[in-house]
Amino acid sequence: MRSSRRLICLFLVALFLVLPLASVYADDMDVMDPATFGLNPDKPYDGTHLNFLICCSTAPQFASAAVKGAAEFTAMTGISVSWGDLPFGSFQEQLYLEATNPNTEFDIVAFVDAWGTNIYDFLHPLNDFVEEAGFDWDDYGPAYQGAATGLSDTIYGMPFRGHPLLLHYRADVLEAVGMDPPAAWQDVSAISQAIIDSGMDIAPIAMYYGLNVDQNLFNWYSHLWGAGTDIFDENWQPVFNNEIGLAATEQYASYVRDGYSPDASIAWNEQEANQELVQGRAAMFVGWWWMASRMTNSEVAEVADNAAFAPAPGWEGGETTSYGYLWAVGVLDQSDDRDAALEYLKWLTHPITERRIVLDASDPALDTNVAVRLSVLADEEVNEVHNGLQGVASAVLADARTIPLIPEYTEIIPFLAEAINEIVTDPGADIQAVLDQTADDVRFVMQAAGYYD
Amino acid sequence: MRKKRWVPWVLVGPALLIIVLTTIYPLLAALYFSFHKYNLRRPPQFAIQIGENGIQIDWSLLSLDNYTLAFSDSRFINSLQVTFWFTVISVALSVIIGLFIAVIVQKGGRLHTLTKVLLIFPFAVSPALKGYSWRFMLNEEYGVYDLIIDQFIVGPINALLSLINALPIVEIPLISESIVWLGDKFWALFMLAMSETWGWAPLIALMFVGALGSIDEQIFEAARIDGANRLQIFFRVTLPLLRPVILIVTMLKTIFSLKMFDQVVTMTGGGPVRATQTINYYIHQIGFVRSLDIGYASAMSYILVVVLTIFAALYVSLVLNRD
Repeated sequence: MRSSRRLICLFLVALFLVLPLASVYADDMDVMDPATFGLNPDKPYDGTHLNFLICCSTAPQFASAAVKGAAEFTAMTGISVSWGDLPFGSFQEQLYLEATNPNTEFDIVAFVDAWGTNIYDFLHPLNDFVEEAGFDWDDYGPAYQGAATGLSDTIYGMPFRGHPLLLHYRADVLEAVGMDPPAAWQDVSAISQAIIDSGMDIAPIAMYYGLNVDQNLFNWYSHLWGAGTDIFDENWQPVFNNEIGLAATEQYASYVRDGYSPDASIAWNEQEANQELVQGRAAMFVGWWWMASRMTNSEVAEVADNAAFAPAPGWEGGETTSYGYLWAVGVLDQSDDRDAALEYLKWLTHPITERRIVLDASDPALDTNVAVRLSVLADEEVNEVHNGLQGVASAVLADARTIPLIPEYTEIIPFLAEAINEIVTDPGADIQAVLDQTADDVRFVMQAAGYYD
Repeated sequence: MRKKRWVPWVLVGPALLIIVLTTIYPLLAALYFSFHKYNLRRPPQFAIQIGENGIQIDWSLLSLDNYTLAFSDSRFINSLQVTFWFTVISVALSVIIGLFIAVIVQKGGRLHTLTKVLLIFPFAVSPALKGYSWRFMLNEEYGVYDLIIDQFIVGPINALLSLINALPIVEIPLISESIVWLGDKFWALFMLAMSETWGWAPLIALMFVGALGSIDEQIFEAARIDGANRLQIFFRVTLPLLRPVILIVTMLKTIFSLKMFDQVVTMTGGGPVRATQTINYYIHQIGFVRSLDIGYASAMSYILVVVLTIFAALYVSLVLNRD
């Protein structure tokens, strides 16, 4: 009897030791099984080569998906995929040219939310695909769902890489002035003033107001929405110049006007502002979460050791709503290999693929924290690997939203970006007058497009 | 001996075909598009239809709307002004600095030969890279130009002002604020022109070196015998003799300045506000980034083509007259 008990105990101990190994083994086995991803095991597209138009393929958030598991996908399906690599600055133009070209060599395209509106007519609707693949559409936050569908219910692209806005800050600096991370933009001003009063040799915040792919609008949206107004009302009339919009814009411009952000920030882009934080010259920065690793990997020890992140600030007494920026992946209608492309999309946007990519931190060049599915963002193991960053992102995405997804918005964006730039480059600019003029320009575009007929 | 008249055509045929495909066809297509409402977002409707009944032309689809729109579009007018001032600044700087460099390096010697070789490098740098580099170098926090200006211009001036202020006579404010080069409308345009000058002035210098070398030394000798000093020789002998070359390089540089695009994208993004939006940049934005309005972009391109053709004709006539 005693020996059999021992045997049972030994067996249980052995089982306890072996199970984790078995699960790892099972993981490895699963990812090589087409059924895991709902792929066709008969390899009907064997030998097909797909071309994927995407930008910045060396950036970890994209490169990770291009490299990790790509060989496994080819082994399972016989489909090989080439990722095109274009710089971000010229990607929008190339996307439009390829999408509207009936003879394009590309089968799959990645697109940013606002850009997608111009190529919806050239994208294969993915509603049936989502259903057949058994994907849970509610596994994406409202901002990403909206950005993938535009104003309709048609799914034009699968959320692939998405970015909430986070506050990146120096914990030591805020601690030195005895302040908590700002929950509202007004707190940012208060903390900034405290940092200046303390005499510390560091800029309180690094903003980016320059004209560079319209990045100066990202945080302006948060101010506008948080304060309680919008770009348009329900009749597509511009309302960003109303009383609330004016207050939001004044607050947005105040960081440089009040000397909290360096003067040079009037010409900075997002990267340049982030460099100020990473190189230890600024205490706060509000930007996309994919930049978080830059701070944690900073060569300046006091920056890396004190790197901290919180949700982007909201509006005092108002909402904490920020812009959720999405890269979606769609399949071109004119692709000769559309079904093979959908097969690839099934693997690329599968929750297992997404989870594996963010969990694997073995190669710094491919290490990324970027995930889009709520289930992956809530995953404990994923959060453990990335110090809870996904949890912060989840909190932001719960209230995040997207921009007006109408084709004309790409025409309107430069008016808005130039207005913001004018307000900050000219300290004497009448903000109300600039906003009113911009509203007139926007109204002209909407009128010409027939929105007021 | 019978001449084979087809041989020359066979020899130049491939080159002609390439020119037709890459230059003539796009030029004609753009002209055709410029009279249409043609937006990439919508299926195009062109006036010329080729169907079962042969070629049919729907005249109602052709209009001058895109051209009239251009001259009522304040942003297009702005881009014309920006391009004009950019051209004036960049051409003037390139020619003057090029001439200055040429005078310095024209003499013989190993160092001068090496300098002449090195001069070609800035021109070989790609314009897009030039823009990125200049943006980096003008950064107020860590840019080398900003540092040089602070250390060698603002610093000494402030030191001098401090000395003056030490005297109980007058109080002159020090230059305290550093300039945000790409955040100021004038300086952004000026620095854009400087980035262009950085590449072009050395090339122009080499052209001037060639021209200077072809001037008969006896002319300078005669001027010296007549009692002219160096400045007089330069302004009254050298410059008049260089006049044809100056005109040619001015025309050439003007043509290239009118086409300014790459550095605007990588260095200023057209800003601050619209201060560096050149015509080419604006056309690109309208045609391929913002409105996808190929018809309007084509019309604006043709307005630029007209201007460029005038300068090109002047340039060619100058070159031919010189020969």
